[in-house]
Amino acid sequence: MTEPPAPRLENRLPAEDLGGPEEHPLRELAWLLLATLAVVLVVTLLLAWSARWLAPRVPFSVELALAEKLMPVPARPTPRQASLQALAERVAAQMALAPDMVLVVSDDPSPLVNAYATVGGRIRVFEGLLARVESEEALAALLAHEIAHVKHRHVAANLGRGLAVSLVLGVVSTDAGAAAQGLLGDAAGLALLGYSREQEAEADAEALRAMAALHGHAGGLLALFETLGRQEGAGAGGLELLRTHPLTTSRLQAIEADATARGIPLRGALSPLPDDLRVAPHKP
Amino acid sequence: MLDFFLQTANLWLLLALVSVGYVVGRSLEKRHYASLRVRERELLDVVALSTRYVPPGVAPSGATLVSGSVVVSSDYFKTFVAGFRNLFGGPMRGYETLLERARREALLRLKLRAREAGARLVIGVRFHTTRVAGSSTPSVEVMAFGTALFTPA
Repeated sequence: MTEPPAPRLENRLPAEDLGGPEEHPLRELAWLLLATLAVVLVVTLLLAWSARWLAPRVPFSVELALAEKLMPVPARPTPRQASLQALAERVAAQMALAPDMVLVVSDDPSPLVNAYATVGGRIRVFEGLLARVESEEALAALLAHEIAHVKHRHVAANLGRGLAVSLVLGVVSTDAGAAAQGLLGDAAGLALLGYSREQEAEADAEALRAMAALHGHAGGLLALFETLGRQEGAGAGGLELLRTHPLTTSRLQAIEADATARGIPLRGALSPLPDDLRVAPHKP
Repeated sequence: MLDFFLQTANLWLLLALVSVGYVVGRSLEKRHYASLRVRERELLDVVALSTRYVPPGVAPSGATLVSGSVVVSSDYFKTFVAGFRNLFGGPMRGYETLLERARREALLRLKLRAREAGARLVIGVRFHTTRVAGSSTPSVEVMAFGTALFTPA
Protein backbone atom coordinates (compact mmCIF):
# COMPACT_ATOMS: atom_id res chain seq x y z
CA MET A 1 0.00 0.00 0.00
CA THR A 2 1.45 3.39 -1.05
CA GLU A 3 0.11 6.78 0.06
CA PRO A 4 -1.81 8.54 -2.74
CA PRO A 5 0.13 11.60 -3.97
CA ALA A 6 -0.79 14.90 -2.24
CA PRO A 7 -3.38 16.82 -4.32
CA ARG A 8 -2.21 19.91 -6.15
CA LEU A 9 -3.55 23.05 -4.46
CA GLU A 10 -3.91 26.07 -6.71
CA ASN A 11 -5.91 29.18 -7.52
CA ARG A 12 -6.52 29.98 -11.16
CA LEU A 13 -6.99 33.42 -12.62
CA PRO A 14 -10.64 34.48 -12.60
CA ALA A 15 -12.64 34.31 -15.82
CA GLU A 16 -12.53 37.44 -17.92
CA ASP A 17 -16.30 37.76 -18.12
CA LEU A 18 -19.10 37.42 -15.62
CA GLY A 19 -21.16 35.05 -17.71
CA GLY A 20 -24.72 35.75 -18.66
CA PRO A 21 -25.92 38.11 -21.34
CA GLU A 22 -23.80 41.20 -21.94
CA GLU A 23 -25.61 44.46 -22.69
CA HIS A 24 -24.10 47.88 -23.22
CA PRO A 25 -24.98 50.01 -20.18
CA LEU A 26 -26.21 52.92 -22.29
CA ARG A 27 -28.44 50.64 -24.33
CA GLU A 28 -29.82 49.18 -21.13
CA LEU A 29 -30.45 52.67 -19.74
CA ALA A 30 -32.16 53.77 -22.95
CA TRP A 31 -34.76 51.04 -23.04
CA LEU A 32 -35.37 51.05 -19.28
CA LEU A 33 -35.89 54.81 -19.37
CA LEU A 34 -38.18 54.80 -22.38
CA ALA A 35 -40.26 51.91 -21.04
CA THR A 36 -40.67 53.58 -17.63
CA LEU A 37 -41.56 56.94 -19.13
CA ALA A 38 -44.11 55.29 -21.40
CA VAL A 39 -45.73 53.49 -18.47
CA VAL A 40 -45.81 56.65 -16.33
CA LEU A 41 -47.25 58.76 -19.16
CA VAL A 42 -49.96 56.24 -20.00
CA VAL A 43 -50.96 55.83 -16.35
CA THR A 44 -50.90 59.60 -15.78
CA LEU A 45 -53.04 60.35 -18.81
CA LEU A 46 -55.44 57.57 -17.87
CA LEU A 47 -55.80 58.97 -14.36
CA ALA A 48 -56.14 62.51 -15.64
CA TRP A 49 -58.83 61.44 -18.03
CA SER A 50 -60.71 59.60 -15.27
CA ALA A 51 -60.47 62.63 -13.00
CA ARG A 52 -61.99 64.80 -15.70
CA TRP A 53 -64.79 62.29 -16.16
CA LEU A 54 -65.39 61.96 -12.45
CA ALA A 55 -65.19 65.61 -11.37
CA PRO A 56 -68.59 66.79 -12.71
CA ARG A 57 -70.18 63.73 -11.07
CA VAL A 58 -68.95 64.62 -7.59
CA PRO A 59 -71.61 66.74 -5.85
CA PHE A 60 -70.55 70.36 -5.43
CA SER A 61 -71.42 70.05 -1.74
CA VAL A 62 -68.30 67.90 -1.29
CA GLU A 63 -66.18 70.78 -2.60
CA LEU A 64 -68.09 73.20 -0.39
CA ALA A 65 -67.43 71.12 2.73
CA LEU A 66 -63.73 71.01 1.88
CA ALA A 67 -63.64 74.76 1.29
CA GLU A 68 -65.34 75.40 4.63
CA LYS A 69 -62.62 73.44 6.36
CA LEU A 70 -59.73 75.02 4.47
CA MET A 71 -60.82 78.68 4.30
CA PRO A 72 -63.83 79.87 6.27
CA VAL A 73 -65.69 82.80 4.75
CA PRO A 74 -64.97 86.08 6.60
CA ALA A 75 -68.03 87.21 8.53
CA ARG A 76 -67.97 90.80 7.31
CA PRO A 77 -66.77 91.41 3.75
CA THR A 78 -64.86 94.63 3.05
CA PRO A 79 -66.46 97.08 0.59
CA ARG A 80 -64.01 95.90 -2.08
CA GLN A 81 -64.94 92.26 -1.50
CA ALA A 82 -68.63 93.17 -1.64
CA SER A 83 -68.06 94.96 -4.98
CA LEU A 84 -66.10 92.03 -6.39
CA GLN A 85 -68.82 89.66 -5.21
CA ALA A 86 -71.58 91.75 -6.79
CA LEU A 87 -69.73 91.94 -10.10
CA ALA A 88 -69.07 88.19 -10.04
CA GLU A 89 -72.73 87.49 -9.44
CA ARG A 90 -73.75 89.74 -12.32
CA VAL A 91 -71.35 87.78 -14.55
CA ALA A 92 -72.44 84.40 -13.15
CA ALA A 93 -76.08 85.20 -13.94
CA GLN A 94 -75.10 84.91 -17.63
CA MET A 95 -73.25 81.62 -17.21
CA ALA A 96 -76.00 79.14 -16.26
CA LEU A 97 -74.31 77.76 -13.15
CA ALA A 98 -75.83 74.74 -11.45
CA PRO A 99 -78.23 75.93 -8.70
CA ASP A 100 -76.08 74.53 -5.88
CA MET A 101 -72.93 76.34 -7.01
CA VAL A 102 -72.04 79.32 -4.86
CA LEU A 103 -69.28 81.80 -5.50
CA VAL A 104 -67.23 83.58 -2.86
CA VAL A 105 -64.93 86.22 -4.30
CA SER A 106 -62.25 87.91 -2.24
CA ASP A 107 -59.19 90.02 -2.81
CA ASP A 108 -55.64 89.39 -1.68
CA PRO A 109 -53.10 92.10 -0.78
CA SER A 110 -50.37 90.37 -2.80
CA PRO A 111 -48.76 92.42 -5.61
CA LEU A 112 -48.81 89.37 -7.90
CA VAL A 113 -50.63 89.91 -11.19
CA ASN A 114 -52.85 86.88 -10.85
CA ALA A 115 -56.20 85.45 -9.84
CA TYR A 116 -57.34 81.93 -9.17
CA ALA A 117 -60.37 79.77 -8.53
CA THR A 118 -60.21 77.05 -5.94
CA VAL A 119 -62.48 74.52 -4.21
CA GLY A 120 -66.05 75.39 -3.35
CA GLY A 121 -66.34 78.26 -5.83
CA ARG A 122 -63.80 80.40 -3.99
CA ILE A 123 -62.19 82.95 -6.28
CA ARG A 124 -59.30 85.15 -5.23
CA VAL A 125 -58.07 88.22 -7.09
CA PHE A 126 -54.66 89.64 -6.22
CA GLU A 127 -54.28 93.40 -5.76
CA GLY A 128 -51.46 93.39 -8.28
CA LEU A 129 -53.97 92.41 -10.93
CA LEU A 130 -56.64 94.88 -9.74
CA ALA A 131 -54.02 97.64 -10.01
CA ARG A 132 -53.45 96.84 -13.68
CA VAL A 133 -56.98 96.16 -14.88
CA GLU A 134 -58.27 99.32 -16.52
CA SER A 135 -61.98 98.74 -16.98
CA GLU A 136 -64.92 97.08 -15.32
CA GLU A 137 -65.43 94.97 -18.44
CA ALA A 138 -61.89 93.58 -18.21
CA LEU A 139 -62.40 92.69 -14.54
CA ALA A 140 -65.73 91.07 -15.42
CA ALA A 141 -63.95 89.03 -18.10
CA LEU A 142 -61.38 87.90 -15.56
CA LEU A 143 -64.11 86.84 -13.14
CA ALA A 144 -65.97 85.09 -15.98
CA HIS A 145 -62.82 83.10 -16.75
CA GLU A 146 -62.43 82.03 -13.11
CA ILE A 147 -66.15 81.28 -12.76
CA ALA A 148 -65.85 79.05 -15.85
CA HIS A 149 -63.19 77.02 -13.99
CA VAL A 150 -65.68 76.57 -11.16
CA LYS A 151 -68.57 75.77 -13.50
CA HIS A 152 -66.65 73.08 -15.37
CA ARG A 153 -65.35 71.59 -12.12
CA HIS A 154 -61.75 72.09 -13.19
CA VAL A 155 -60.73 72.56 -9.57
CA ALA A 156 -62.16 69.20 -8.51
CA ALA A 157 -60.65 67.51 -11.55
CA ASN A 158 -57.20 68.96 -10.82
CA LEU A 159 -57.43 68.01 -7.17
CA GLY A 160 -58.35 64.40 -7.96
CA ARG A 161 -55.78 64.20 -10.72
CA GLY A 162 -53.01 65.59 -8.52
CA LEU A 163 -53.79 63.13 -5.73
CA ALA A 164 -53.99 60.13 -8.04
CA VAL A 165 -50.80 60.99 -9.89
CA SER A 166 -48.77 61.63 -6.75
CA LEU A 167 -50.01 58.33 -5.37
CA VAL A 168 -48.81 56.46 -8.46
CA LEU A 169 -45.51 58.36 -8.51
CA GLY A 170 -45.06 57.60 -4.84
CA VAL A 171 -45.38 53.89 -5.49
CA VAL A 172 -43.25 53.84 -8.64
CA SER A 173 -40.44 56.09 -7.47
CA THR A 174 -39.98 54.29 -4.16
CA ASP A 175 -38.70 51.44 -6.26
CA ALA A 176 -37.00 53.50 -8.92
CA GLY A 177 -34.92 55.49 -6.43
CA ALA A 178 -34.42 59.14 -5.60
CA ALA A 179 -32.70 60.10 -8.86
CA ALA A 180 -35.54 58.81 -10.99
CA GLN A 181 -38.19 60.40 -8.77
CA GLY A 182 -37.68 63.91 -10.12
CA LEU A 183 -37.56 62.74 -13.70
CA LEU A 184 -40.77 60.73 -13.48
CA GLY A 185 -42.47 63.57 -11.62
CA ASP A 186 -41.46 66.02 -14.35
CA ALA A 187 -42.72 63.67 -17.05
CA ALA A 188 -46.08 63.28 -15.33
CA GLY A 189 -46.25 67.04 -14.78
CA LEU A 190 -45.57 67.69 -18.44
CA ALA A 191 -48.33 65.28 -19.43
CA LEU A 192 -50.75 67.10 -17.11
CA LEU A 193 -49.87 70.54 -18.50
CA GLY A 194 -51.73 69.60 -21.65
CA TYR A 195 -54.90 69.25 -19.58
CA SER A 196 -54.19 72.53 -17.85
CA ARG A 197 -53.92 74.42 -21.17
CA GLU A 198 -57.06 72.71 -22.42
CA GLN A 199 -58.92 73.92 -19.31
CA GLU A 200 -57.66 77.48 -19.82
CA ALA A 201 -58.87 77.45 -23.41
CA GLU A 202 -62.25 76.10 -22.28
CA ALA A 203 -62.51 78.82 -19.61
CA ASP A 204 -61.57 81.50 -22.16
CA ALA A 205 -64.30 80.32 -24.54
CA GLU A 206 -66.85 80.29 -21.73
CA ALA A 207 -65.76 83.76 -20.61
CA LEU A 208 -66.21 85.03 -24.18
CA ARG A 209 -69.81 83.78 -24.27
CA ALA A 210 -70.53 85.39 -20.88
CA MET A 211 -69.04 88.69 -22.04
CA ALA A 212 -71.11 88.62 -25.20
CA ALA A 213 -74.25 88.05 -23.13
CA LEU A 214 -73.37 90.72 -20.54
CA HIS A 215 -71.82 93.51 -22.62
CA GLY A 216 -72.55 92.49 -26.19
CA HIS A 217 -68.86 92.61 -27.16
CA ALA A 218 -65.51 90.94 -26.41
CA GLY A 219 -63.72 94.23 -25.60
CA GLY A 220 -63.27 93.45 -21.89
CA LEU A 221 -61.70 90.06 -22.50
CA LEU A 222 -59.37 91.40 -25.18
CA ALA A 223 -58.37 94.35 -22.96
CA LEU A 224 -57.62 91.89 -20.14
CA PHE A 225 -55.28 89.81 -22.28
CA GLU A 226 -53.61 92.90 -23.69
CA THR A 227 -52.92 93.98 -20.10
CA LEU A 228 -51.59 90.54 -19.18
CA GLY A 229 -49.48 90.44 -22.33
CA ARG A 230 -47.89 93.78 -21.45
CA GLN A 231 -47.24 92.50 -17.95
CA GLU A 232 -45.45 89.42 -19.28
CA GLY A 233 -43.34 91.69 -21.46
CA ALA A 234 -41.46 90.83 -24.60
CA GLY A 235 -39.47 87.98 -23.05
CA ALA A 236 -42.49 85.82 -22.31
CA GLY A 237 -42.33 83.58 -25.32
CA GLY A 238 -40.86 80.16 -24.92
CA LEU A 239 -42.25 76.73 -25.37
CA GLU A 240 -45.98 76.39 -24.88
CA LEU A 241 -45.33 72.74 -24.05
CA LEU A 242 -43.80 73.76 -20.71
CA ARG A 243 -46.56 76.14 -19.63
CA THR A 244 -49.72 75.76 -17.58
CA HIS A 245 -51.51 78.37 -19.69
CA PRO A 246 -51.44 78.77 -23.44
CA LEU A 247 -49.28 81.72 -24.53
CA THR A 248 -51.13 85.00 -24.14
CA THR A 249 -50.71 85.73 -27.84
CA SER A 250 -52.31 82.42 -28.81
CA ARG A 251 -55.13 83.01 -26.31
CA LEU A 252 -55.81 86.41 -27.85
CA GLN A 253 -55.85 84.89 -31.32
CA ALA A 254 -58.15 82.07 -30.26
CA ILE A 255 -60.60 84.49 -28.66
CA GLU A 256 -60.61 86.78 -31.68
CA ALA A 257 -61.20 83.83 -33.99
CA ASP A 258 -63.95 82.46 -31.75
CA ALA A 259 -65.63 85.87 -31.45
CA THR A 260 -65.51 86.40 -35.21
CA ALA A 261 -67.01 82.96 -35.81
CA ARG A 262 -69.84 83.70 -33.38
CA GLY A 263 -70.40 87.19 -34.76
CA ILE A 264 -69.46 88.88 -31.47
CA PRO A 265 -68.06 92.41 -31.94
CA LEU A 266 -64.40 92.57 -30.87
CA ARG A 267 -64.57 96.09 -29.45
CA GLY A 268 -67.14 98.07 -27.53
CA ALA A 269 -67.50 100.71 -24.86
CA LEU A 270 -65.39 100.16 -21.72
CA SER A 271 -66.30 101.82 -18.41
CA PRO A 272 -63.78 102.72 -15.69
CA LEU A 273 -63.54 100.60 -12.55
CA PRO A 274 -65.75 101.68 -9.64
CA ASP A 275 -63.83 103.50 -6.91
CA ASP A 276 -63.76 100.70 -4.32
CA LEU A 277 -62.19 98.30 -6.83
CA ARG A 278 -59.49 100.66 -7.88
CA VAL A 279 -56.04 99.97 -6.43
CA ALA A 280 -53.08 102.31 -6.73
CA PRO A 281 -50.32 100.63 -8.76
CA HIS A 282 -47.77 98.93 -6.54
CA LYS A 283 -44.27 100.31 -6.39
CA PRO A 284 -41.94 97.94 -8.26
CA MET B 1 -33.57 79.89 -25.17
CA LEU B 2 -32.07 80.65 -21.75
CA ASP B 3 -35.62 80.54 -20.44
CA PHE B 4 -36.01 77.01 -21.74
CA PHE B 5 -32.84 75.83 -19.99
CA LEU B 6 -33.85 77.49 -16.74
CA GLN B 7 -37.28 75.90 -16.81
CA THR B 8 -35.79 72.47 -17.42
CA ALA B 9 -32.82 72.93 -15.09
CA ASN B 10 -33.64 69.77 -13.11
CA LEU B 11 -33.43 67.67 -16.21
CA TRP B 12 -30.03 69.05 -17.22
CA LEU B 13 -28.66 68.61 -13.72
CA LEU B 14 -29.80 64.99 -13.75
CA LEU B 15 -28.31 64.46 -17.19
CA ALA B 16 -25.01 65.96 -16.03
CA LEU B 17 -24.86 63.76 -12.92
CA VAL B 18 -25.73 60.62 -14.86
CA SER B 19 -23.13 61.43 -17.54
CA VAL B 20 -20.42 62.15 -14.99
CA GLY B 21 -21.32 58.92 -13.21
CA TYR B 22 -21.11 57.02 -16.46
CA VAL B 23 -17.83 58.44 -17.77
CA VAL B 24 -15.97 58.51 -14.46
CA GLY B 25 -17.43 55.25 -13.17
CA ARG B 26 -16.60 53.41 -16.36
CA SER B 27 -13.03 54.66 -16.51
CA LEU B 28 -12.44 53.82 -12.84
CA GLU B 29 -13.90 50.37 -13.40
CA LYS B 30 -11.61 49.74 -16.37
CA ARG B 31 -8.56 50.79 -14.38
CA HIS B 32 -9.58 48.68 -11.44
CA TYR B 33 -9.99 45.58 -13.59
CA ALA B 34 -6.54 46.16 -15.11
CA SER B 35 -4.97 46.52 -11.67
CA LEU B 36 -6.82 43.43 -10.39
CA ARG B 37 -5.45 41.29 -13.24
CA VAL B 38 -1.87 42.35 -12.53
CA ARG B 39 -2.06 41.77 -8.78
CA GLU B 40 -3.90 38.47 -9.10
CA ARG B 41 -1.03 37.16 -11.22
CA GLU B 42 1.49 38.39 -8.65
CA LEU B 43 -0.33 36.64 -5.83
CA LEU B 44 -0.94 33.30 -7.55
CA ASP B 45 1.57 31.68 -5.18
CA VAL B 46 -0.75 32.28 -2.21
CA VAL B 47 -3.58 29.75 -2.48
CA ALA B 48 -6.97 30.49 -0.91
CA LEU B 49 -9.45 27.64 -0.56
CA SER B 50 -12.88 27.42 0.95
CA THR B 51 -12.35 23.97 2.46
CA ARG B 52 -12.91 23.64 6.20
CA TYR B 53 -10.25 20.96 6.63
CA VAL B 54 -6.51 20.94 6.26
CA PRO B 55 -6.00 19.36 2.83
CA PRO B 56 -4.27 15.98 2.78
CA GLY B 57 -0.52 16.22 2.41
CA VAL B 58 -0.33 19.53 4.28
CA ALA B 59 1.19 19.49 7.75
CA PRO B 60 0.75 22.96 9.19
CA SER B 61 3.04 24.18 11.93
CA GLY B 62 0.62 26.94 12.90
CA ALA B 63 -2.35 29.02 11.81
CA THR B 64 -3.64 32.57 12.02
CA LEU B 65 -6.76 34.43 11.02
CA VAL B 66 -6.38 36.68 7.99
CA SER B 67 -8.92 38.97 6.42
CA GLY B 68 -9.19 41.49 3.65
CA SER B 69 -12.02 43.97 3.23
CA VAL B 70 -13.05 46.70 0.87
CA VAL B 71 -15.89 49.20 0.84
CA VAL B 72 -17.22 50.11 -2.60
CA SER B 73 -19.80 52.63 -3.64
CA SER B 74 -22.03 52.58 -6.66
CA ASP B 75 -21.93 55.61 -8.93
CA TYR B 76 -24.80 57.84 -9.98
CA PHE B 77 -25.18 56.09 -13.32
CA LYS B 78 -25.28 52.56 -11.89
CA THR B 79 -27.76 53.59 -9.19
CA PHE B 80 -29.94 55.35 -11.73
CA VAL B 81 -30.09 52.31 -14.02
CA ALA B 82 -30.58 49.92 -11.09
CA GLY B 83 -33.55 52.01 -9.95
CA PHE B 84 -35.36 51.38 -13.22
CA ARG B 85 -34.30 47.72 -13.07
CA ASN B 86 -36.28 47.53 -9.84
CA LEU B 87 -39.42 48.21 -11.85
CA PHE B 88 -38.82 45.71 -14.65
CA GLY B 89 -36.62 43.02 -13.11
CA GLY B 90 -33.65 41.32 -14.73
CA PRO B 91 -29.93 41.28 -14.02
CA MET B 92 -28.37 44.42 -12.57
CA ARG B 93 -25.25 44.28 -14.67
CA GLY B 94 -23.74 47.40 -13.14
CA TYR B 95 -23.99 46.01 -9.64
CA GLU B 96 -22.75 42.61 -10.76
CA THR B 97 -19.43 44.01 -12.00
CA LEU B 98 -19.20 46.31 -8.98
CA LEU B 99 -19.54 43.45 -6.52
CA GLU B 100 -17.33 41.13 -8.54
CA ARG B 101 -14.54 43.71 -8.36
CA ALA B 102 -15.14 44.11 -4.63
CA ARG B 103 -14.87 40.35 -4.02
CA ARG B 104 -11.70 40.06 -6.06
CA GLU B 105 -10.18 43.07 -4.30
CA ALA B 106 -11.08 41.68 -0.86
CA LEU B 107 -9.55 38.30 -1.73
CA LEU B 108 -6.37 39.99 -2.96
CA ARG B 109 -6.03 41.92 0.27
CA LEU B 110 -6.56 38.71 2.21
CA LYS B 111 -3.82 36.97 0.24
CA LEU B 112 -1.50 39.92 0.78
CA ARG B 113 -2.05 39.69 4.56
CA ALA B 114 -1.40 35.94 4.42
CA ARG B 115 1.82 36.43 2.52
CA GLU B 116 2.92 39.15 4.98
CA ALA B 117 2.25 36.66 7.78
CA GLY B 118 4.46 34.17 6.03
CA ALA B 119 1.75 31.78 4.88
CA ARG B 120 1.17 30.34 1.41
CA LEU B 121 -2.14 28.62 2.05
CA VAL B 122 -5.42 29.98 3.41
CA ILE B 123 -8.30 27.61 4.08
CA GLY B 124 -11.90 28.14 5.14
CA VAL B 125 -12.20 31.34 3.11
CA ARG B 126 -15.61 33.00 3.40
CA PHE B 127 -17.04 36.24 2.03
CA HIS B 128 -19.18 38.55 4.04
CA THR B 129 -21.13 41.55 2.78
CA THR B 130 -22.49 44.43 4.83
CA ARG B 131 -24.54 47.25 3.46
CA VAL B 132 -23.20 50.63 4.54
CA ALA B 133 -26.29 52.70 5.28
CA GLY B 134 -26.84 56.42 5.16
CA SER B 135 -26.64 57.35 1.52
CA SER B 136 -28.95 57.28 -1.46
CA THR B 137 -26.12 55.80 -3.53
CA PRO B 138 -25.62 52.33 -2.14
CA SER B 139 -22.27 51.27 -0.78
CA VAL B 140 -21.29 47.88 0.57
CA GLU B 141 -18.41 46.36 2.45
CA VAL B 142 -17.15 43.06 1.10
CA MET B 143 -14.91 41.16 3.47
CA ALA B 144 -13.00 37.92 2.95
CA PHE B 145 -11.62 36.01 5.89
CA GLY B 146 -9.94 32.66 6.38
CA THR B 147 -7.36 30.65 8.25
CA ALA B 148 -3.80 31.04 7.01
CA LEU B 149 -1.70 27.93 7.56
CA PHE B 150 2.03 28.07 8.24
CA THR B 151 3.74 25.18 6.52
CA PRO B 152 7.41 24.34 6.93
CA ALA B 153 9.07 24.87 3.59
